[in-house]
Amino acid sequence: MGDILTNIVQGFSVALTPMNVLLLLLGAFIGMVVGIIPGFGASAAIAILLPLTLSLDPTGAIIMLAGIYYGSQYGGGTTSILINTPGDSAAVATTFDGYPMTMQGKAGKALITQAIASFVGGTVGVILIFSFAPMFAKVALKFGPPEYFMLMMMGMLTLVWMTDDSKLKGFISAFLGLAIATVGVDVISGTQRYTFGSPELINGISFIPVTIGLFGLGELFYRIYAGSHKDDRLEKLDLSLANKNTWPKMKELLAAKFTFLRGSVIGFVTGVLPGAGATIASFFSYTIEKKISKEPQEFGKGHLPGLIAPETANNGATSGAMVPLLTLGIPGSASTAILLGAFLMYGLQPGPLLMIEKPDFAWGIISSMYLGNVILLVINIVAIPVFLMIVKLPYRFLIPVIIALCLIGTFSLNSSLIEIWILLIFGIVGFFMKLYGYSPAALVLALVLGPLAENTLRQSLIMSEQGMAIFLTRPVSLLFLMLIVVIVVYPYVKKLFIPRHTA
Amino acid sequence: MKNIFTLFLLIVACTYLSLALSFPMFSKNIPGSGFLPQIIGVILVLLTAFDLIKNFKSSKEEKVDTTYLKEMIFVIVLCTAYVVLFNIIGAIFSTVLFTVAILFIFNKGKLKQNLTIGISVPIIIFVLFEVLLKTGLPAGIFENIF
Repeated sequence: MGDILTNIVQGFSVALTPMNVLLLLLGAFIGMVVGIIPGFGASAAIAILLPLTLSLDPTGAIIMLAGIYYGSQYGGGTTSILINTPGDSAAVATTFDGYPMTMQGKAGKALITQAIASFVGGTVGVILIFSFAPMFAKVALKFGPPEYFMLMMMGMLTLVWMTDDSKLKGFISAFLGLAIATVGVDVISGTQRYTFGSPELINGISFIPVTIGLFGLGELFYRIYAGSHKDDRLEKLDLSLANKNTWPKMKELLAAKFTFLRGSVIGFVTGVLPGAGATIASFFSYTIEKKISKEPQEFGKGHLPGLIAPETANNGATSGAMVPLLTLGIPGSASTAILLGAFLMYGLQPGPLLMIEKPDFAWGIISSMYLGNVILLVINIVAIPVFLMIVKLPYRFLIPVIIALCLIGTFSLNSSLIEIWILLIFGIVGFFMKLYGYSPAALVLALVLGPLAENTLRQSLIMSEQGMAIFLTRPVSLLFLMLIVVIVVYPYVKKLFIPRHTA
Repeated sequence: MKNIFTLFLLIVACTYLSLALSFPMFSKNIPGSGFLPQIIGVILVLLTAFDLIKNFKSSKEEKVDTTYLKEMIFVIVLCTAYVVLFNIIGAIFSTVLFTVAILFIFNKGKLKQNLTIGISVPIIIFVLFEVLLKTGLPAGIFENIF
């Protein structure tokens, strides 16, 4: 307990410097704004805005990026509620009861409840990080290359396996990511691979133009194809904060206290699991809430718990996902993969040693996440009129702004012209991936994990005296392998045991 | 169209694999630089081939929704021109041209509004990256003028 307190004090002393608070405020606000734009979630927000943090010191930069990361999670729900268009997949479940509330003229109430739910989810998540991260780090210290390799395989597999989209296309996406990751110099033997003699490719294809291409340009092309720029979307809404009906009643919130708690914990736990993330957490939490509710028939009709459950969960998951990222250095989702890329860019290697060698940094980030939640709660309520304005802003004005930001942002990272071509190519590839149900998230996760996976695999085999058997003879690695089998088999077993007619 | 994209992926996978075969699978009894690429290549070829066969078997060829297809292709073409011009006439001029061109199509008939946005947005982005962050954006042929 004493340890946790020391960590908290140490963390807040880093997070509370005026500069860091300012960066946090900026990051959280910008993240929210980007999160509001349909199709643009945490991954796109971090990727597009990463270049903006280049001139900062690492701690400040990561604090700002973390602010963007969970700020976008807050923002994603806003459009779900107002125009039934989720900012990204993690906010899909928010539309189920959020949009019906808007239809009933309770948009203000829905937005404020969403802000409170996000705050509770984020806060419970941060408290859980403080309690569990050191434990995770201690266990992770004992991991060798085989364990890391197995964990990464588990993460990628879960990401592909848990989606409703085609698993085949998910695997293709992941293997494409791995293939792109092999471009450049092989660190173990020093051989050049797939560089075609080009000096620009010796260090490999950077994940940034690929990610901005897939999530920024690709998404935008898709939105134009789907006709988003033609929508005139919003009718008149009464969102005046002075109106008493805009605020949820204390009684209603207290009645849902267990929903808040359940959603947060479910979200956090789901977020910690590699490969599962905010999207799965929000659906999971919504389903559970509906199952145990005394009035399940109310769900989908603007029921308050139906809004609270997914919103606490996706923010809880956002915090939860930071645990494997900080303690193991293994991201479990596309957005944390981009954060990992950012860490590495700033010369920080996340992992168990980060907690021990740079505790002020690690705890500073986590403390700033808590502050970020407080700030976002306030911004979210006070700035509702501003967000309404952004939601009303026609998509056609956003098109050139987003494209210019993507292009100039990508260029500014390495001043490389090749990288803006890569950006454009992956923008087009991203459009087709989105159109035909491939998974850009799996590609990005695999691309970031690829080099790490390759090194740990080869190190494992070098260590091993019996080839692949090393993954079976080490207890922890074997445990992970068994978990992977469970993940793969689970959907089929579930089908066997649940008779068709109830499903 | 779907089949063409899958076919494209299959060709990429085959090229990747054939190049991977030139790297050694093992060197001095430890996994070499070709170890993982060859594994990835084989799996990728198998998966994309399987995907393509699956596409062919489901006889329903989806129709490409052409409502906004023209506009999307137009944006992609403009993006390509933007990338090309970026280094030639410099970041700020190419961004102004690009923004105005896009708005010209999507926000027809509002010349004044389009020009205002087309000039102010690039300037804001330019100030942000060039002045505040000192990125060093290309000035292109105008380098000597400024």
